[in-house]
Order: sequence, then structure tokens, then C-alpha cells
Amino acid sequence: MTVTIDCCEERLVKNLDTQEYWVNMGPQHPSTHGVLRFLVKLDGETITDVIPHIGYMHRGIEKMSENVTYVQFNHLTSRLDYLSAMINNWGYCMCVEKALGLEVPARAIYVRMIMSELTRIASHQLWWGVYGMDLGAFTPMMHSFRDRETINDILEETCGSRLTTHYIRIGGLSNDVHENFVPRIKKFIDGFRKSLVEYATLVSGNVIFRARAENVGILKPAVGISYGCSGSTLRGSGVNYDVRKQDPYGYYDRMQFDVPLGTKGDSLDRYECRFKEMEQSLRIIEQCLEQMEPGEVVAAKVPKKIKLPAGEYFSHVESARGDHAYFIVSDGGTSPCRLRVRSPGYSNLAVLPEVVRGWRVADMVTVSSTLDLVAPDIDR
Amino acid sequence: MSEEIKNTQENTAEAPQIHDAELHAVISGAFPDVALVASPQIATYAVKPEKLLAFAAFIRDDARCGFDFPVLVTGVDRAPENRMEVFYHLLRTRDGHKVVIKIDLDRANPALPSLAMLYRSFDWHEREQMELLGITFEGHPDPRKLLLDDTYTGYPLRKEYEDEAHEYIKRPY
Repeated sequence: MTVTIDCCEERLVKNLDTQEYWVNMGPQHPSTHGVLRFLVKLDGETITDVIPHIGYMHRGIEKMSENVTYVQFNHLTSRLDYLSAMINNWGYCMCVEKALGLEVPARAIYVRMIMSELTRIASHQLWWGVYGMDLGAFTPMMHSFRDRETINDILEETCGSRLTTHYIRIGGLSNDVHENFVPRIKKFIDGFRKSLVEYATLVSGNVIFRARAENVGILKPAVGISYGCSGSTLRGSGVNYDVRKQDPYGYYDRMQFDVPLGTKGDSLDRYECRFKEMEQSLRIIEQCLEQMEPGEVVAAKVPKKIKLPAGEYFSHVESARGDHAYFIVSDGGTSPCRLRVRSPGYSNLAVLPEVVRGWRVADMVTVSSTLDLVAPDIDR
Repeated sequence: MSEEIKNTQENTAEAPQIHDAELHAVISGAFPDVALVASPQIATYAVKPEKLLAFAAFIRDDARCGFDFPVLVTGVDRAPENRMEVFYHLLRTRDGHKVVIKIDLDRANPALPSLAMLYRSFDWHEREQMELLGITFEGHPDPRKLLLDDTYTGYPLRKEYEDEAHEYIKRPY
């Protein structure tokens, strides 16, 4: 950047170059939510480059998979993206079920869908509250955690765990839902619909909030696709890609729901897409509750010792962050020859330098928060 | 087209299932020596390393293919057979159709051209496979370590890798 000094005497007018410098952001920064480090190259207040450093939470889950059985690996998927544990469980179980050719009972699939959508709302609620806090508003956090607690209580009642659930198992579920499950969800939906309207007034319509998010950090659709972004990060740029629509799993093809799309691809569009997704999740849960009937929750023919036939198996689900995929290469043994996890946050983070380059240092947090990064999901 | 399918069937022991006849015709028309290999779920094409860049550019840019979305890259260590495999998963955003590129490599010297400039997402994916499996991606724009520490030696995802911690932690299973 060049600073031009105006002076009455023409000979004194000269160009002064400013010095660029590196600033370290993280690994312990309140807005990175986990251990994540950025090296930010600044020119004054303008960001000229960002280098993300990941791997602080690398636990080698892919390596672990080679030393455990297919059943033992399931609980590790909850530890990938701990905010959408149910969805991760489902993605992995679906991959193994596809390989074994298992038919999952209808009730189990409906419960899986309800659980997935509840998890998605809980995850988006955490993101929404924390996004407010990242931008300096503390109130949203209080509201969002109230709703999140309600969901966590519902999950806890059925599967005994609040975050790392390990409820969806190969062939079905670990147990049928608690008797309070349906009434509590109905009560939650009624309350949460009203809350969403309030939240929209509290944050989405707030002038200060809009000034900080609107037109900031524009992600072009072509760049987003090339970087493999998915979820609301990509849909904010107007790309209609949702695994639930493009490659439906479970009974998503029977459900009526919309995929919110943005137009500009700025931070506000990404925010709006994620915010509106919660309303759609409520619609899906309602339809599931209507269609669900009593029945078995575990497939009858789940083998005691699971051995996948030699070959390659792939499955992907729409997690709260985007396209979450599992790829299993089997050599016919009791544990995978190679198991690869595609975490959506990994690709969403990779695009950050492209999005934030040229913006001010204060916009760094605005943009990185709308990408909804979760460090354990990125590092695996 | 029927002849080409016949050819690919001769190449592999198991008859590969054709998931999308139209797409297969386009791909095998442009690359007659690229074989469709048996895979239960996704159309998988076995490509030689020297053809990889041309093949990937074709299925990305050709309007009839249009695989614009990079899903993942995996290296697989097939130690008993003394070879390595690399899988590129691609997808197109308009209808979610998937395709897999499979590359067979020599385990002594696993090297293939990098696709990081075609699909920017593969930059990180390839870096990860480089440090975990020791596969060389030629022409990679930034071949540093990604997840592991710079001082880390060895390739953890190779089958012969022994973690020092195993001397101290003994598990019964």
C-alpha cells in the first residue's frame, strides 16, 4: 500500500511505502473455537495474506481405524466433529451398511433423521450464539445456549450422552427412543419457532451487525467449488449443493424442505443461509414425527463379527458444516485397510485466505466465524 | 461403445458395472485406454500417472462430464502386494453424480502429478497424503507438512510404521 502525502510544495510530495508484518493469531484465540492458528500478514490494518496452521488436534483417527474393528471405530466418529456427532455416526454406519448390504428398519431411519436435524439445530445454535459473541454481542450466546441445552437434554434422555453420542450403530440404533422423546420434541419445536423470530430481530436485523457482515468477505461460487467448500459456506454463494437433495440418503427424498441460498456470497449471506436452515430442520423433524411408526430399531441380520468384502466403499452425509464423507478400503479383514474421512471444515478453512485477502484485520473474525470451523473436525 | 466395454471387461477379472452409459461413452471415447474397474458403488477409472493431468482436466472442463467438485484424495498402502494406490473422488454439484480416479503406483517410488492447480482443494489433501504415506505429488505448489510437526520422521499410514509409543502402551486387543 502506498501512502501519499499532500503538501503545498510539490517537491515534497513523495510516496512512502509501509512495512508489511506478520501477526500470529491463535492457537489459543477466543474466536478460533479449538486449537487453530493463523499467521496473518498485515499491511497496516489490511490483510495481505493468511496462512492457516492446522494439526494441533490431530489424533490420527484414520490410523486408529486400521487397528480397531468396524464396530469399535464407530464411537471415534463422534469425536471428529463433536457438534454434529449424530450425523457423523450415521455417515460411517451408512458406509458399512452399504458394504454389507444391510436393510435398516424404517423406524431407525426416521429416528436417525430426527436426531440428525436436532444435532444440526444444536450445532447452528452454538454457531449463532458464538458468532454474536465474536462480533461483540454477548446476548445471543445466552439465548442460543438455552435452546441448545433443551436439545442436549432430549439427546441425553434417549442415548445417555450429550455431545459424543455414539447412538447410531451399524444396522440401526443402540436402543429405541425414550417415551418422553416425541412430546419433548414437539414442545421444543413450538417454543423454538417463536424464538427464531425473536433471534431474527435481535441479531439479523441489527444495524451494527449488518454493517459488519454485509458485503464483507465475498466468496465467489467458482472459487468455493474449486476449494471444495460445502454446506452453508458454499450455499451462501448461491451454489445449490446439498447432499440431502443431490444424493438423498435415509428418507430425505420423501421430505418437503427448501435449501436456503445466498446471492452475493458475503458473510451475511452465509449467516442467513445457516440461520434459515434451522427452520427447515424443524420442518423435517415434524414430517418425520408424522410418518414414524413403532417397530424394530435394529436390523435383524447384523453379523456378530463384521468383515467387509474386499473393495472400496463410499458414503457421504450433509453434516452441520457440509459434505462429510467416509471412504473405506477393505481387504476383507475385520478392520479397514484404509479409512479416509472427508471433513467439511477442512476444505472450508482452506478457502479462508482467498476470502479474507484485502479485508481489514477486524473482518478476519467475521469471515472465519461464518465458515463455522471446528478444529477437531479439521485435524481429525 | 460396446467394443470398448468389452475391452475393459477383458482387462479386469470381474465385469465392471456401468453406472452411467452416456458418461462412460464420453470418457472412453476421449480416453480409450482408460479402464473402468470393478467397483460396487461408484464408477472408478484406472488412469496411468502420465495421463492423469489430461484426464482430470477433461472430466472437469468437458460440458458432458463437468465434475467440478473435489471430494477427497486418499492414498492406500497395499503392502502385501507391494504397491500403492491413490484415489481421487470427484463430484458434480449440479446432480451429485460421482466419479473416482484410481492410480496404481510402485511402492518403492510412489510418484504422480499433482492436481492441486486444477482443484484447489487437493492442495491440502495431497500435502496430507505426502506426509502420512510418503507419496510424491510432482509439481505441487506448496509441498510442506500439513498436520504433523516439521521434525516428524516416518510415514505413519504406511503398514510397516511402528509407533514408539507402542513400547510403553500395551493393549490386550
